[in-house]
Order: sequence, then structure tokens, then C-alpha cells
Amino acid sequence: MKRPLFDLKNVKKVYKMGDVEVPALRGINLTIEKGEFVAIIGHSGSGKSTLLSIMGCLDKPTEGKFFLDGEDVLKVSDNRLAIIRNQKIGFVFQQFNLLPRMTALENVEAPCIYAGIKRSERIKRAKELLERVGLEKERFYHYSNQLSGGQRQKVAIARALMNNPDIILADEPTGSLDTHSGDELMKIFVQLNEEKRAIILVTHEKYIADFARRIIHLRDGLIEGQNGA
Amino acid sequence: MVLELIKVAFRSLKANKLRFILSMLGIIIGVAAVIAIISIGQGASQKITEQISALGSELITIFPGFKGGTRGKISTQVTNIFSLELAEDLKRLSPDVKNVTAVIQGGAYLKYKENNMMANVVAITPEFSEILNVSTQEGRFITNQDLDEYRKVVVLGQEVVNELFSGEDPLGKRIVVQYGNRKFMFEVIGVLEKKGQMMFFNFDNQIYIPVTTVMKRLTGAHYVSQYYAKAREGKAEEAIKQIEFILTKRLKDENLFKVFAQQQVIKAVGQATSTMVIMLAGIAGISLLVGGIGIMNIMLVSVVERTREIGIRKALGAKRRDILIQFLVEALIISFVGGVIGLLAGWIISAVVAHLNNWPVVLSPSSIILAVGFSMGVGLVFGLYPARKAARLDPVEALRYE
Repeated sequence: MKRPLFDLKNVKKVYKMGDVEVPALRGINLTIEKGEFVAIIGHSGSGKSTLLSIMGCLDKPTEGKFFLDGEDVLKVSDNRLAIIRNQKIGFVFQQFNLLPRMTALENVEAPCIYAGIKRSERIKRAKELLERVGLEKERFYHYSNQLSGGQRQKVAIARALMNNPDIILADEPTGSLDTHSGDELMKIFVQLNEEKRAIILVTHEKYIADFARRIIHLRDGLIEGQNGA
Repeated sequence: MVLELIKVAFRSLKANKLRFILSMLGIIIGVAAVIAIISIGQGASQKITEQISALGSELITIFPGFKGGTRGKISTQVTNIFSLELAEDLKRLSPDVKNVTAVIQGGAYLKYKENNMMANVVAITPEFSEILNVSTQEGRFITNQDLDEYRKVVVLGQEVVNELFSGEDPLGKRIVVQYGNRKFMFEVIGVLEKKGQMMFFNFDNQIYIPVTTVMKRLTGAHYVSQYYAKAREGKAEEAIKQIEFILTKRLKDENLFKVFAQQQVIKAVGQATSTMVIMLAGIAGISLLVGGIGIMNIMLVSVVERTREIGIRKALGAKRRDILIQFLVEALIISFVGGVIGLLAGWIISAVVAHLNNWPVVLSPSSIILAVGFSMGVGLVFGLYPARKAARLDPVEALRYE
């Protein structure tokens, strides 16, 4: 039996702001197979970032079921969730979210530190990945605040790949980049997808979503429609 | 892994140097105070003990007791019991008493040419020299012949010589001793070697004359003010018992005298100083606690400031434990580095104080371990709450934090 990579059943998320309940997701049913390239598109407030957070095991739904690679992640411990994030998922954020006061290389190393991989191995892997995403060698030892937006996002991608995850979750990855850097980044995503990694990308730009093979439209916390697949 | 966390902790501390230093300050002051107080206290007590032991631990002091004082009467010191004969008897009858000297203490006004001064007069027997370990540097000490003939001879302490003779050789000179309101001429027969302050008296600013001279010529008194005795090596306790036994038999009242051994004094002084040190160190320890609260304060601010970083780390797969250790290590570094700096500062302070007072610098390993250990304990305790707070942050909220 082939099990889907993501299996979400009637997932709801309600934020409580004092007495007011704000529904962010109002019943999402979604399955994504291994190696898919999916774009989730929607206006701001459509719940797309919330959905991505839940899929990335950073947040838990208020209601519904969610199986990741067959594992009921709503029933596992915090520690297990940390391991899942560490081993199975690579995150790429709009704001890059590099660690402050650390060099490009050290940022890329970080996931391997939490995985307990020894230093020499870590550094070797981090250098390979940085080269692969096309960061110039002389930038390896620059601190994150000494890098441009495009360079930072390359570092972030290299970092996401460090533990060789099957899933890349990207939240508006091109949102803070110029068109050229954005294109470059999307090419990397396409490449990663060709390596059978599942890419789930949240965006509000149609042009970026078009790189994906399947587009999910989100509106007011519900899936409005899909194309592709 | 832990090594990496230490590296990260150092990084973030380096990024906020001033804050790092300020948060360490409380610990530095606390540890420095504890170390300095303990070290100074131990140094002082060692010095005092040395001084007391220099007099010989076999030294026994016998004072008159007090009588009266009941039914509204004022108690008065007994003055009419310690005769020279009794001193002889004590020496003769107690097997473990090596020597006894009878002493009368008083004050006199001294004059030589234009120089004059006030000095303590100690009227003694020749045994005083052996019992209190004093000897003359020039001339001779008081002899039995001096006593037998009530000679008006005097042995001077160093400070008296300096003040009275200003460079002149004092031996053979005659000085005026005004005792009460009568004046006497005394011949200087010796100068005591420099001995310095020992316990309650300073040998150097006193003069020594034969006890019989005071009794027969100066005052006409029949009794002395106290005895000093020396026990045989290691027999101080037996000697005290024998002295007490004899005096009780003779005087029929054990309240008429008091017998002190040097060892008791050493013990008492040691207890008094250690009590003092413990109390002061306790007070200093409170500042360590305040330092701990300072660490907690800084760490809480740091956690809030780095909320986003914590969120990123969680997204990358950091477990609660990883975040907890990271912040705990930071608090421990603050308290450890603060503890070490405080240790150095405390050591410098106590070394300076020891140098000024001419006593040994005592820095026992136990107090070092105690101070650094305690400061790290403080760091651990006060770092735990902020670290737990960091570890329990919700990843999504932390990532959204601006």
C-alpha cells in the first residue's frame, strides 16, 4: 500500500484573540505524495502560512487529523516533533531566518549539530551544499548580516538540505528577493524537485506558483480549487 | 554537542559585552567579598594564634579573683593574696610547673635629661625571662641578687630606649622613675631584644624592674598583682590542675583566683574569629544571591530578545533540552567567569590587607571551591527559570516574533 507523504483530514485551526475566535483554517483535506512540487497560493489571510506551519510540525491544528509519512504527528511528543523537523523537513522562510552572530557556514551546520553529527563531517557537507546552491567560497565565513538577500536565501536553502530531507517547505521564499535572485532560487527548487524531494511552496505570486506542477488555491481557510497533478 | 552550545553561548555573550560584564558584576562582588573575608579572617586568626604561641603554649597566667558584689556591694579585685612565698610554694609543690614568676604591673613617668615619657612598669623576678621567652640584647637581665638587695635597676624595652635616649647608649645611665608621686633614680642594666606586640602587651614599650624593689622601696606592698607560670613540655593541663589544687587549699576559696592557660586563649580566639568570619561571609553570600537575581534578570531579557532565534533553532530541529542547555550554559558561563574574576579580586584584596598587617595570605582550596561552586550554583538556579522559559516557547509564535 502506498502511503501519501502528507495526509490532512478536515484540518481546522482557530486562533483565540481574547474572547474572539478567528478561524484560520476551516477544514482542509489534502494529500501530497512523495516528490511532488506543490504551490499553495492565496491572498494574505487566506491561511496559507498557517497550513504550512502545521505541515512543518511547528504548529498543531485545533481539529482534524494529520499524518506525515504515515505517522500520526498530532499524537507524538515534542521531542519526536523536533526530530521530524530536523530529519524530514527543510524550511525556507521569506525573512531568511538565518541565525544571528553566525557565519554562513555555521548557519548551514546548525541542523547537523542538533542531529549530533560530528564536526568534520558537518563542515564537509555544509561546504558542498553551499557550493551547490552557488554561494561564492569567499562568502562562507561571512556573517549573515554581511550577505545580500539572495546570498542569505542560498544559505537558507543549503541549511534546509543539510540533513538531506525529503520535504522542503518554503514560505514566500522569493518575497524578499529581486526578480533575478528569485529566478535563480526557483531554478534551485526545480532541481531539488528533480531529486525526488517534495517541495511545498507558499506564495501569493502566480508567476512563482507556475514553477510548481500542482497549484492549490486557498481562500478564507478553505481549498478553493486545484490545478495540475 | 555541549561544546557547540558553549561556543554559541560565548558568541552571544560577546555580542553584548557590556551587558555580560554588568550581569557578572554582582557575582564578582559577591565572590570577591566572600573570598576576601574568609582569607582575611583566616590570616588574622593565624597571626593571632602565632603571637599567642610565641609566648609558649605552656604559659599559664594566674590572676586574683573578685570578691563581694553580693547584696548590693561593689565587687573588688582581691589584692592581698599573692605573695612571693606563695609563688615559691607553687613552683615547689606542683610537679608539672617548671617555673613561676610574680609580677606587679603599674605605670610610671620616666625622665632622662630632657626626654620624658609614660611607660608600663613590670616588676618581675628573674624567672620572667624564661617563662615569657624574653632576653636582653645588651647588658643583663634582673637577677636574684637584684631582688635580694632591692636594687634600683631597670631593663628597658626597645621603644623606651629609642624615645628616652635618642641614639645614646643607655647602659649604665641613670633615669628618673616617678612612681605614684615619688621619684626614684634607677640604673639601666639592660635592654630587651625587640619582641613586638604579643597578645595583650607590647614588650617593647615597657620597663622591667625587680619586684622586691617595688614592694620594699616604691610602695611597701606585700602582695603582687599576678603570677605567670610555665608548665613542663606538654603538661599544661596537669599543671593547671595542680596550681588550682594548691591555691584552693591555701586560700580556702576557689573564687579568689583565676587560672588561664594560653591554650584556652588560643582556642577562644580561634572560635571568636571563626564565628565572626562565618557571619561576615554569610552577609557577603547574600550579595552573591543578589548577583544571581541579576543573572536571572539579564537572562530573561536575553530570552525575550532572542525569541526569534529560538524559533529558528526549533524549526531546525532543536529539542527543548537543546534550548534549555544553551541558555543554562550561558548563565553558567556568566557565573563561572564572574566567580573566577571575583576570586582573583578577593585574592588581591586579601593579599593587600595581609601585606599591610604583616600576616600570612591564607587562601584555602576549600574556600576557592566553595566560592566558585556556590557562584555556579547560583548561576544554575537563577539561570534555570529563563532557560526553561526559552525551551518552552511555541515555535510558530517564536518565529513570528519581531
